[in-house]
Amino acid sequence: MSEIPTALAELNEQEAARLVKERLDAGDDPVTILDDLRRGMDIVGERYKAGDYFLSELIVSGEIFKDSMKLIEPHLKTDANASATKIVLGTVKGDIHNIGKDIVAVLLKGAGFEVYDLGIDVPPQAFVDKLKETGASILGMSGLLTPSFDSMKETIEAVKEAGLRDKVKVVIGGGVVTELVQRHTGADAFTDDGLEGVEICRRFAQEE
Amino acid sequence: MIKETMTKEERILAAINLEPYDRVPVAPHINSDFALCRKGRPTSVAFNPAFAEEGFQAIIDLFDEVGEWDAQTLSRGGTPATPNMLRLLALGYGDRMKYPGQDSRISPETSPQYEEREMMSVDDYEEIINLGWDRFLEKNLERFSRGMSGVTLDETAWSLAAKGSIDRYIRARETWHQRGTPVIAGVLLADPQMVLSLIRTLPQFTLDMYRRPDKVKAALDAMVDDIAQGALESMKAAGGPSPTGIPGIMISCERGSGQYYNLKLFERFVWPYIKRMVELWAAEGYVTTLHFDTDWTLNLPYLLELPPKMCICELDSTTNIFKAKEILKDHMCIMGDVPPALSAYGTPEEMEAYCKKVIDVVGKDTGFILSTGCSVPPDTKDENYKMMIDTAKNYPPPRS
Repeated sequence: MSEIPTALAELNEQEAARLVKERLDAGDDPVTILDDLRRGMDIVGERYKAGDYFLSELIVSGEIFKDSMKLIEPHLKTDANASATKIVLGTVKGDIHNIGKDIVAVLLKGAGFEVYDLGIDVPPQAFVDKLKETGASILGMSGLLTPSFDSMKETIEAVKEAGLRDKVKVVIGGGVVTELVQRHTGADAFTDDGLEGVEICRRFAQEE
Repeated sequence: MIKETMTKEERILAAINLEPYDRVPVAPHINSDFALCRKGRPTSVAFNPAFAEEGFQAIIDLFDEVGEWDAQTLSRGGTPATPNMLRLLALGYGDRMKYPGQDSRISPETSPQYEEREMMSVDDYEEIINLGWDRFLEKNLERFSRGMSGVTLDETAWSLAAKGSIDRYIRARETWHQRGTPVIAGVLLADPQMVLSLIRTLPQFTLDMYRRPDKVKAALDAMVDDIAQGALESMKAAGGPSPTGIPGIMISCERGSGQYYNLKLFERFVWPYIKRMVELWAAEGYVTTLHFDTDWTLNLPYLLELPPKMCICELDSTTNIFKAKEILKDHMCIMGDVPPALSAYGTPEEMEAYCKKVIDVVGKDTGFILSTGCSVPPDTKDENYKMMIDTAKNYPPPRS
C-alpha cells in the first residue's frame, strides 16, 4: 500500500503533509495523490463503521485531507473531477449549526463527490438555484432543531415546484432526525450519522 | 388513573433512591418557549429577559391547564446561573448564542442557537494552567466580551438576567413548592471538557487533544475544582438544599460522548472530570442530573463508578435508554427520553405507544422518570404533551 493512505488513516498529520509535498516535488500526477488520499479516507470510513474510529478521527482525518488538498489543488487541472457526482449541501433556513454539515462536506469530498456547500441558514430558493445551476443530482440538507424540519419540507416543496424533484435525490441529516422527520419532510433518506450520509449518497450515485 | 399513594416529592425521591414507586413520575424538561408558543407568542419572547416573568407564568399556566407533572427539572425552565455559569455564558455562549428575533437568521418561532466560533486561542491553555479557571476568566473577561457588539459584559441583557438568577430561582422554587412540585436541580453548568469545546470550538478542541494532549489535560485539571466549587457556592447562596427535598445540580454533558470520542480520549479528557464533580457534590449531599445530550451508550458502564443513588442519568433519545436500564438499574435513576420529533410531529397515539414502551422496560419496579429527550421543543403539540403526562399517570409500570 502507498504510504499516503496509511499516514492519513493513522492520523499522522506531519507524515501525510511530508509525503504529499514529496510526491508533488517529484512531479507525480496530482490525481494519483488525490486517489491515495481518498483511499486513506476510505480506510478511516471502514474503521469508523467497525467501531474503531469515532467522530474525532473523522475530524482529524478530514483536517489532513483538507490540508493536503490545499497543497494539491494548485496542481490539479480544472476538469480533474469532471465525472464526479454533484451534491448541493447546506444547513436549512433558520438553522445556523454547521459542525455536522462541515464534517459531511469533507467526507463527501474525500469520497470523490463534487460538493457545493451553501453554508448555514440557506433559504429554499438558494438550494433550488444551485441545483439548477450545477445540475446536481443529490441535495443534502442539515438541521438540528425541530423547526428546521419545516424548512427542509419547504425546500423539498420548492424543488418540486421548480420541476426538479424527479431529477434530485434528497437526504436529510441531523442529531435528532428520524424516520418520522423523513416522512414529515418528504425526503428520500435520512441519517444521524455523517458517514452513513456518505454511504447514502454513494447509493444514490449508483442508482443514477 | 392509577391510585396514587405518594406525594410528588416522595415519588421522585423513590425513583432516585431506586425504591418502589406507586407509578412512574413524569417531569418534562420544559423551557418557557413551548409554554409561550402555545399561547401564540414567539419564542423570541421566551429568551428575552424583559419577558422573564411572562415566560415563567406561561409554564405555570401550562401546568394548571394541561396537567400537573411531578417535578420541574430546573426551577424556571431556564438557567439559574452560578457565578461560574454567568461567566461561562458570557464566554462560552455570549454573543455566539443567537436568539430568535434578535438575530436576523433566527426566526421568532425557532430556538436559540449556538454559533461555533473560536473565543479561545491555543495560548490560553497555558494561562488557564497558571491561573486556574476563575482567575483566568476574571483576568480575561474584557477580552472575551469584546465581541459583544461593543457593550461591556455587565451591560448585556443576558448578563443582567443572570445576575438576579439566584433570587429568581428561590422565588420560582417557592412557587413550585406551593403546588407540591419539587425542583430537581438548582444549578445548571457544564463539565470542563464541554466548556473548552464550546469556547475553542469542537473541531479545534478535538485537534488540540491530538496535537497538544498534555496541555489540554493540564488545563482541565486546573478548571475542574473551580467549576465544581462554583456550583456549590451557588447552591449555598440559594439557601442550601431545596425546601422540597431534592438538592440537585444539573451538569450539561454533550460533547464528550462516545458519539464524538473513543474511550481512550474519553478516559483521559472527559470522564475524570465528570466523576470528580459528581463525587464532590455527592459528598455535600447533592444529587447530580447528568444531562446527556448525544449518544452516551458506549459510556454507560463508566457511570457505575459514580456514587450509587446520587445521580439521574437524563437521556435525549439518542442514547439507548433500554441499554441504560440494563446497566444502571441497580445504581442510578434514568430520566428521558421522548424524541423531539415525536413531540412535534407525532400523533397522540404514537406518543402513548412510545411512553408505554419505555415505562414497560425502563420504568419497571423503580428508577425511572418519564421526560422529554432534552427540552420540550417549542413546536410540540399540546395533545402530545398532555398524552405524555397522562400516560405516566395511567399506565402502571411492571413489577418483578
